Amino acid sequence: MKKVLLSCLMVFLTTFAFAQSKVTGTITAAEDGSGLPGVSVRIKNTTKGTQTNAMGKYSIEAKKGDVLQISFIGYTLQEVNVGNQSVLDVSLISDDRVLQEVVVTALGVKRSERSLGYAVQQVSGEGLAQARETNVVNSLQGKIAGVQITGSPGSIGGSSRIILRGVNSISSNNQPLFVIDGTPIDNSNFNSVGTQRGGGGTDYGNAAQDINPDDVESISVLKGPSAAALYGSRASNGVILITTKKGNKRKGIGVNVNSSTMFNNILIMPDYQDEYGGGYKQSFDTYNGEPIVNYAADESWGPRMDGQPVRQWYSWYPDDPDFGKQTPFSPNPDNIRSFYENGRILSNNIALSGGSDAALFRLSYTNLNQKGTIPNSKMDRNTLNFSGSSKLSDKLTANISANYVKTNTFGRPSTGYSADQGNVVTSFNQWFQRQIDMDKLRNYKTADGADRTWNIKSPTNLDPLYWENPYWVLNESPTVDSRSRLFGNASLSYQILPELSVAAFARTDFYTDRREQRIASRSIPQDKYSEEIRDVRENNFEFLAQYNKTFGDISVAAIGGANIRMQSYYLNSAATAGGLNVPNYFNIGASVDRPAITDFFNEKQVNSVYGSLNLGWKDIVYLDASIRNDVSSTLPVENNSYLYPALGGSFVFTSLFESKVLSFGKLRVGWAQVGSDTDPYQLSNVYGAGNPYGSEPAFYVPNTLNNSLLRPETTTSTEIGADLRFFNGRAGLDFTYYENRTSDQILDIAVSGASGFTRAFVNAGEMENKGFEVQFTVSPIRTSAFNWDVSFNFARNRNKVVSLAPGLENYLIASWGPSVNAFVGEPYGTIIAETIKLDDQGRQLVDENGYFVINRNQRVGSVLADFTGGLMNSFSYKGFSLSALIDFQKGGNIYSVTNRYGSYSGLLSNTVGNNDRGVAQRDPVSAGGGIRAEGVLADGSENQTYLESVDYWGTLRNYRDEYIYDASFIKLREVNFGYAIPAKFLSSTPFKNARVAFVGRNLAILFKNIPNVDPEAAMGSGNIQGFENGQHPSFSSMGFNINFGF
Amino acid sequence: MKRIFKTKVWALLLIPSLFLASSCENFEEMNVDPNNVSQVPTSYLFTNTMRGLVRSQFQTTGIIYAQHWAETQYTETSRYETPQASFYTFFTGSGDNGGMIDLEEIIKLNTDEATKGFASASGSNTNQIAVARIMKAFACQKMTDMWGDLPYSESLKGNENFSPAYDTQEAIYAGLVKELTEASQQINTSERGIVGDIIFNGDMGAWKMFANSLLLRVGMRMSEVAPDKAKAAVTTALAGGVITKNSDNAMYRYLPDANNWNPYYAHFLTRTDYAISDVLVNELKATNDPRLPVFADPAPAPKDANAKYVGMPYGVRNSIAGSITNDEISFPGIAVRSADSPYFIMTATEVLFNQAEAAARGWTSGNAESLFKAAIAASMEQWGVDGTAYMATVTYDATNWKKSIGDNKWIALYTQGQEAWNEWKRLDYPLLQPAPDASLQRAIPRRRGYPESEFSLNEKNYTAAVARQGPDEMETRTWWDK
Repeated sequence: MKKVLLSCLMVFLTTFAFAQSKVTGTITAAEDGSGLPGVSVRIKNTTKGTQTNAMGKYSIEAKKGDVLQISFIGYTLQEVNVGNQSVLDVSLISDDRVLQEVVVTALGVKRSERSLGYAVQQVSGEGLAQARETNVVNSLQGKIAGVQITGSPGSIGGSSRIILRGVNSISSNNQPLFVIDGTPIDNSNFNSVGTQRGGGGTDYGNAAQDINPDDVESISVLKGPSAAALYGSRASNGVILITTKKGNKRKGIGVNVNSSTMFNNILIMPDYQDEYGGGYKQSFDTYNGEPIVNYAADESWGPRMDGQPVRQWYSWYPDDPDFGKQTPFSPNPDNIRSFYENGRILSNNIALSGGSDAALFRLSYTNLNQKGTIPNSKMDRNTLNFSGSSKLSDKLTANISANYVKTNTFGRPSTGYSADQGNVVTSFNQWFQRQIDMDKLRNYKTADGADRTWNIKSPTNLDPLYWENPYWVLNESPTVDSRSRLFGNASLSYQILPELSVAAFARTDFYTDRREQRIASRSIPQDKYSEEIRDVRENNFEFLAQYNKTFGDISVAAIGGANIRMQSYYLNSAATAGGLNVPNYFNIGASVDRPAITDFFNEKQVNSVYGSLNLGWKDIVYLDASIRNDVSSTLPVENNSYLYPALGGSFVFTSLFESKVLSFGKLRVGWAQVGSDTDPYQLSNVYGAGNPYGSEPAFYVPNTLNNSLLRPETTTSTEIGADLRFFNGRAGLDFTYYENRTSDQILDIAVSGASGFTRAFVNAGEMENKGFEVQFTVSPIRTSAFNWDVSFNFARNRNKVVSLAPGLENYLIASWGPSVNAFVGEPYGTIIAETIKLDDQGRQLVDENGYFVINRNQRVGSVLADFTGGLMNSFSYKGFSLSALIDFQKGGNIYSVTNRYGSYSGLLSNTVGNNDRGVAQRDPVSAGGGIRAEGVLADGSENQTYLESVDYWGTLRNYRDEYIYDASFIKLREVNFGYAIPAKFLSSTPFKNARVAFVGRNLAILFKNIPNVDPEAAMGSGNIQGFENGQHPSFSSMGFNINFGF
Repeated sequence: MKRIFKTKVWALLLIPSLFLASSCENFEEMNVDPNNVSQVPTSYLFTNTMRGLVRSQFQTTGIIYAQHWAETQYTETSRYETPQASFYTFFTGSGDNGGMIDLEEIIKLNTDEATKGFASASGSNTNQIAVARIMKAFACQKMTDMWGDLPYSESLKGNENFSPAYDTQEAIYAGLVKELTEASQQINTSERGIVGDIIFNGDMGAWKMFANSLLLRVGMRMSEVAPDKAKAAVTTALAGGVITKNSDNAMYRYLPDANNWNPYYAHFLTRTDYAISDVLVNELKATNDPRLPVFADPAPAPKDANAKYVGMPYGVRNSIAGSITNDEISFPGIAVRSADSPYFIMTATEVLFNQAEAAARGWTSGNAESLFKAAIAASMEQWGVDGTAYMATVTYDATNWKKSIGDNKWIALYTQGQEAWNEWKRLDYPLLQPAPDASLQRAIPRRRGYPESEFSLNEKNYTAAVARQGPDEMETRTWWDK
């Protein structure tokens, strides 16, 4: 039947072309053999021309002797003579200098950038695999305008938060949607609220880190919702669109190997003082006539470390060589640094690829192995990727792509202030004795299995008081977690007509995430074992029809589709209660009392239909329109269907005139709306189950009040931009201005607990983001041998909370000491804390006792950055290349508990040195020491009262504003020095290509305003940001990368 | 042919739409929460809220401000460093800390025609409502005594009022008197008692006595500022019948199970932050009080080998406290910090002290001195010690009955820290000294500050309350403490 149809069609078409023969063919990209849509095929010196369809096929009437000009932006122009053949396949070679002009857009459609009414930026996958980051999100840092990424640069598999064009939603997810080859990929982060605000926990990182850079061909960033309306609700924060590598048509099987070795070294350490050791006073107490350290003190206000012999903690342990001896009380300036180890990341990838006219495939295996800088921590990730396509007939193509990722992490260290097992870094930087010799702690266990710690209760009681031996924590109570994940898709596409194709896709992403936490028996907290198992699933079934045709000067590209999205989530967790019945028997069955159990499931479904239409006129003017309707299971039936449109256009005005200076100029404008639903089960109220009291069940009214009247929320965005290229592309400027407004937000607002609830779901609230993005490129030197390219990007976003629920002036995001809030009329993330009160002349007020006057509940900053950007310099000379990336953030505030308690405890260098009388600040006030609070008394006179140093720093912690810092930074993010061995040297070897590179990541913090810690301090990828607490020290990565193929 | 083709294509395009349309039908069912229940017997709510309301106020603030306990190393609370404390857990229900919203729910379920039938499975509707009102009054008094003005009449309204206004403490006390009076009369002992009652096991007579004893406490607390109202409430309470023997005490029994442990037990399992204070130890030692060995454990290795019990110096700076090792001081007695050590909600001792005071004030015809001695004797019995020798030394000073009652009630209210602190505020006895190293040289706190979240979530009403009551600091006196 189909053949009949087609031949009828042929007849129909050929009736117009009796004088000429028909030439058909496929235009493919040389690098991967994929069909290129929208390629212009023209007969030279005539006005006749056509464009390729979605599969890269064309058909044109031509006669022998005609010359076909085949041109496509991003590729070098080719001319082909028409001979006797009726099929002319051409593969185009990409032109690196303008490659960026072809971009992957929504639904994976490659489009010329000139046709787009919105900004898209793309980075190639090549660099990502070389300068290896274990979290691919970090690899985008500094490369794309308007993307703010906050990593956790000292962690192993920790969180990275990515935000495009600011924060749109007050209470729910603000991160973009990750899409790999059309399949949405979950980027959940299940860190507890406690972890995220630095209270304590474990940072397990965001799930998108499973994406393997070795398999990435390119990453497109669709920033605004107009770029992404076709992906639906979740695209309201933009889309990170990842295209993976595919097989290409070639002789034999290609083998490519990429191996990188990175060494990690601690980049930033607090500035410790090394004058005074542990204790609360500058003299030693005695025990049986011998001087003793105050072992119970986890602070360093003690005696000077002047070498006086004293009974140190280990002298009470009979197994220590110094048992019973007095040893010198001397500084150990490198004690903490020597605790950290040199980490490393090894990554090895091998990829096989091949293809014929009938089938293409690529199979890749990657092993990534990381050893952390904190002892006994390591991560191992294995990734298997397969993609294949097969032409089942002329018209029917089957594709499959599958990724299996297994990550095992052992000994992921705890974060924050008071994690269950204890965060060793919190001890080092907030609660420690500076004289401690780390070598003495390496033997962390006594022969009978007790914790050998510096923080013993007393000479007669060697039980740990507040802090265990750090090695005990890391060796005896390791956290173990793993994730196994499969994602990919299978599809069938059918080319009904040269201009019309239909395709059906089944897509899936599912993983099981397992986490085990232990507290060893004989630790300070009661022994405990807990496990959490999550099963996260998303399936999408999609139908898509694409139509591409040129009618004279008018090109038409239309898409119609439908999608069913099904998501489910299981959480099963259990934790022992009342201890373990056998020491170190880490099993839920060992629970002495009834274990705490969570058994949770949710599911949702969204059904969608959508369509888009792109009209072009002479490659000069383009119009874009799209519309989508979603029906979501999470909203009340009467409100669960919502429709949202997008419109855009572009105008290549330089097509109207010739200019030597302005070689290309385009204006673009876009407008889009995205509707959004919510999470399941927020409509009706239920009762929660507490632990039973004996045999009496105990239930409660939950803290969150649900709402049966929820409606979908809406994000509306407008953007205008210009893309200008000068002097034949030697310089370029891309500018975008945008406004986003999300209204009718579904918020779980925090309410006064006096209402009986602490949170309630409402439909209210509006937030606005306005900003601009600039991308500037210039090639100061471009010769056949030497090139220098500079690329600079810059973005500024201004956020404002326009309104909240009626009567509500604030949404509380989180608090741990200071609170992070969304006040009406102010930017999202306003920090509230106690400040030192100022008089009307702006001078700090001091009371008659010499203490600062406190001013509670003051607005002191915001967690949002003022602007971000990056500068990339690339040089190439023959086979050598060198690139350096610097990125920066201006503004944003962060509350640093490391600084707060590091000062309180007398660990940091600011707690020593001389006062303004030239006397050591730790000397007694009576001897001229102490510190004078800088300020004036109520009567305006200068404060003259000195406080003991310990009291000054002890009290200063109550003015938390003193520990809220500007998070600005400039970082040398990446350096890559490579050499590609020229083909002529390889011709006698089996190698087809080979490249070596020396690479570095996070090499230096060139500028920052926060002392002692890294200003980049994500403890999760959610909205709770701005808290630094017990931060693991950031490390730099340096290493080399070898890549070869044969 | 062309037409046939077109039809086919459009049909193809339509198939998914039809599929989508048909698959939406079960959406409502899909969105029903399978993890939680939408209906439970009200007895389950009673159990959780009784546990929660005891836990909510079973905290260390009171016992430290009353100087019964002292901190061993980090002495910030005993030096009055942090004014703010949150009262939300009294109101809200989540977790094992059920709060007043659960009581509100019980009242609603027992009142609405649609649900009262189902609710009556957990006891008669009237008795359930009465108990819920008594528990609410109990919690509200604890709260207002701690913070002063608070959301009361506009509280617990859910989405009808997310920013409730603050009532004055005077208005709250008037409400408490009304609620307790009515609830006590509402109890019908001939109807079925409540189920899930982990305090009195459904004994409605006991609830009635508890309500009256609570009314006595409420009334007495107003004695210095509104003596007429106080006397009226006290008279009503005594007429209704109060707790007079230890077997009638209102107690919350902790269980030897990690989820229901006494919180002090949970604390001392892993930390040693609190010891018995030198203030209390010295007082007990001075009078050879037989309760000392119950209130405190001997110090493991005291500096003075003869001093069996050594109190931790109260309110000294960290550097002083930190030089005193755990072995040198006495920790709270094992009897008050075992996994199943009970919490005393209302004791015969306290009721007898209040009766003694009512007599001393001339509000009743009782004999103040004998009631006073009966109160102390009840305390000896409550703590299981032989008080015979001690009782012989007890004297009652009718000319300064505030001192006699204040000094002795303070000791008897051990482990009921907040009540001990409240009674010190009201009677000004015993003569406690502020912490020697008090933060910013503060005096002994009279209240806690409102939580910061009230500033951010209920700013207008918070500001109005502070403007009316005085600065949101610990020194500010509440209405009955004037």
